[in-house]
Amino acid sequence: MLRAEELRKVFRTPRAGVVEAVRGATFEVAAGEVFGLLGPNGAGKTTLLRMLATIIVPTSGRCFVNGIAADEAPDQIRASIGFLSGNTRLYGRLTGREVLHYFGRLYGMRDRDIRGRVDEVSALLGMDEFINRRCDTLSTGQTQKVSIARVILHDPQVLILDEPTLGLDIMTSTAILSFISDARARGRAIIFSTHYMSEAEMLCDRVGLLHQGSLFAVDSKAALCEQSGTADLRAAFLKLVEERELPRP
Amino acid sequence: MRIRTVSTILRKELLDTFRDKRTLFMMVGIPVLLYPAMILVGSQAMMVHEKSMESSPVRVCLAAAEAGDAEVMKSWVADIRNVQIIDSPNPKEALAAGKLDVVVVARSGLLKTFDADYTLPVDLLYDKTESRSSEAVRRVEDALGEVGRHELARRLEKAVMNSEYINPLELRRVDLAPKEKTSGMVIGLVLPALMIIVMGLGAFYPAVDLTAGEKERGTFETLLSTPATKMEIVTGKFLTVFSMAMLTALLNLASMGATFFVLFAQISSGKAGEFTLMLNDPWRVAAMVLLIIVPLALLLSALMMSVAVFAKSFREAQNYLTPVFMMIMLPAMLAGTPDAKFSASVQFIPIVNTVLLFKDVMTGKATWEGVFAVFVSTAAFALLALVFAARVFQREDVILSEEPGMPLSFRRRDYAPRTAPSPGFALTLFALVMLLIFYVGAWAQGRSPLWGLALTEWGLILLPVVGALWYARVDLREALRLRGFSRMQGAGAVVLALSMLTLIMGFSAVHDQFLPIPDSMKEAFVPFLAGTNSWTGLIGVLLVMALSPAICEEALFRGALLSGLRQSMRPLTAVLAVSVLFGVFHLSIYRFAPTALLGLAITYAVWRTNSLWTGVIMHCINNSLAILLSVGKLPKLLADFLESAHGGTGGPSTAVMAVAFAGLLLGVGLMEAANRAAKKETAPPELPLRSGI
Repeated sequence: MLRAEELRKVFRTPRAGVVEAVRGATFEVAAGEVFGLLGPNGAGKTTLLRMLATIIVPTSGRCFVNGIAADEAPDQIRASIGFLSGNTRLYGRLTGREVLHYFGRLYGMRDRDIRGRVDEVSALLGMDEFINRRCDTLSTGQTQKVSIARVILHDPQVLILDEPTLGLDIMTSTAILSFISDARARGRAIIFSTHYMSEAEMLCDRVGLLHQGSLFAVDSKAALCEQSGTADLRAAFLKLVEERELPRP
Repeated sequence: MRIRTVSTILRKELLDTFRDKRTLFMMVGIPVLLYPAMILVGSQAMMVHEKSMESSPVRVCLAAAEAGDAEVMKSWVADIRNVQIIDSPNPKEALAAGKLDVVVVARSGLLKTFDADYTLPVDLLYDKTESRSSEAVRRVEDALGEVGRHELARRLEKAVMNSEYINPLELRRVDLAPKEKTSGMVIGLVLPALMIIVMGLGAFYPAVDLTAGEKERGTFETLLSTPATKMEIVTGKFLTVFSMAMLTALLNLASMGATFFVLFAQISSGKAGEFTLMLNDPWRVAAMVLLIIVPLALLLSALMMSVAVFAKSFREAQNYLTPVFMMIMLPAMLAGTPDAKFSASVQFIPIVNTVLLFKDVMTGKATWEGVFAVFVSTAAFALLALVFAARVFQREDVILSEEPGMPLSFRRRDYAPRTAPSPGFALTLFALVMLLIFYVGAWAQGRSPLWGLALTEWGLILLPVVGALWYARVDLREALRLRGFSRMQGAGAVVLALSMLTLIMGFSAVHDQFLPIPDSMKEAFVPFLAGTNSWTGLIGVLLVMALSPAICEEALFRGALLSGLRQSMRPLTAVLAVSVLFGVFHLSIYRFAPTALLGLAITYAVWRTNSLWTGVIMHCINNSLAILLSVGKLPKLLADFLESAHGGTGGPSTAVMAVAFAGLLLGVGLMEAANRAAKKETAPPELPLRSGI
């Protein structure tokens, strides 16, 4: 469903000079699969996901959704993706319903369909009591629910979720995790990044480990544990990063 | 581009804007409330002031030359309303202390002069800076004038003379200007400039809110993740800003009209109709005004949006837009002066043409040809600005920039060391220097031209630039490009400076025909060159007017500003922007184009050589030669060459221009060749900085 080939991104900043944020990432996510992207802060997770969501253009490499190349038809690709990150916030001066309606139209949905779908999604995520309130009056959890509603409003085939549970209470994050496994059951391809190893442990069919811009391991968690000779994902991650940092003979 | 997507964005942005109290207040509040309130309060205050003037007592001290005369003089001023006659042993001191308003000094005795048919010299001592004293002296003068006329009539009668004998001519001015013109003139001076400022404010807030504001609130990426293309997003946002600018402008016009109507009605109840008379053909005026303000709103909106998008926060955007506002205000104010007139030569200069044409519309003189020319040229500039805005939106490093700007703190340790100032910091620095020059520099140069200029350059330009960069922990060597240059680069700079000076001489010959430099401006240079007769004087002038600007101004423009703007702009855009600011810096519409051209050559050279010193050399060559030429100290051959570039009445010489142009190409060629040579030797393989799309 989603395929990344040698994605690479180079930035230039006044302070740090030229930075290679992602150094050639190749992987695939199939329909009905949850792919976890793990890595410390600054590893390049957000940059990689932004490239997949066609928000930024890779310096080199390509990505495909259903065989369509992102650089050839970015608008078409975006229509089949739902993208959520810490930087995709909501318009504070609009109500949840207005926000959803706005994005529904931007995704090319018909007004009548939008109305029905907003009610449906609102019921699904339990947003009825606050959907008519302005977004700047909502709590973090409520805001995140509206964001999730925005992401799934147009029923995309691919979900790209950048740390969707960051800073949420246990109720909301549980709701979001169960929503992710529902989406998997309905055949969506999901790629999500997280800090929380337990979440990855619980949900992911396969994981990719990202460190200093390099996607250095892509496999199922069992295979990763076996490769590193550890019992769980956390230990596997630490071990594999450590091995990478050792000078090669 | 899908219309539905664009209209969706437009509708949402309008809704969002109308829910923002700050934006709404700036756009609706300012024109509708503050503006008429300001004028009404002003006129009320004036009336109150005049009333109090009339009712306050006029304190007069009479100083007679002969004893007894005072009684007669008392009778002269007795008819002044509210007069108080005060005796004072030292009237001058009392006047200075504010205890008296006027001292009437009869310099001779009445008996020998006034009564004997001679002239009585009378001094009226007053304090011009005290409005009360000024008002009192006017009234005393009126009263004494009446005494004089009365006495004159008596003397003529005594001499059996007709009063017409001493009035061989009777002069009377008859104003034939139609009423629409006189009232239009008053409004025509104020309204156009205000119109542009208010419209600028109307575009300003949405432009910032929809770009930098959206970035600051972290919603831009949400929008970018949808199938809406960047072009659709820019268009939708631009239409919102444009709608708001238009709305503000129309509200402003309506509020202006209403305010003036009320004002005229208040000042003189009989003249209220005069204002309505101004619009004796309201539909024509309305159509013209609309044709003028639509492209203007397009231009201002596109301009503000394309600049504001570079900022990461509301505050930063305000910093960026300050110089833009100055660029708009300067021509608007200039065109607001009474003598500036709409003509063929200015009809294509943006902003200026609008203000001048507006004036003509108000005085009923505008023609459709003029309106059309302004419409087309402004629309063309608006289109350029819009294309620029659209291109900026395509750049992900601008749209998603996360590089934090300078901290808002004033403690030095809060600043992280860096190699270049942020663009906002550089522009703020520029604005600060402009303000310093405007207030302190002008004052200092008024006191002593040469010393004042020296102070301006070193104290008001270089010192703040170096000081601010040091304080913000910017690496001075890097930011100011204090590096050496190769021999070939040096040669390129010299050739470039010489050929650019020649080209500008030729260019200004053409420029003069469109925008002739007023004599007062030419004369303004005279005091600076006063000492050039002696060799020591000439060296002093060259040090202050050639070397000092070359060092200090280069540090600001090709140092801080170029490094700063390079952070968020492509090289060529940054070079262009610095050149334009260099033009603006000279604070004169007449010098804008030539100095911006010079700036272009210098900025290019410094960018290519990465050495400020090439800029210093070029700047110094340019200024020195210009000074030596104007005081006639240049070797004859060179002087003749440059003179023929300007060409006097015959226009620039083609041969000289060709030589200059060839020189320009040679200079550029040398720079580029030097760069290629340098790259081959040392440069590591450079990573592609931005993606190809």
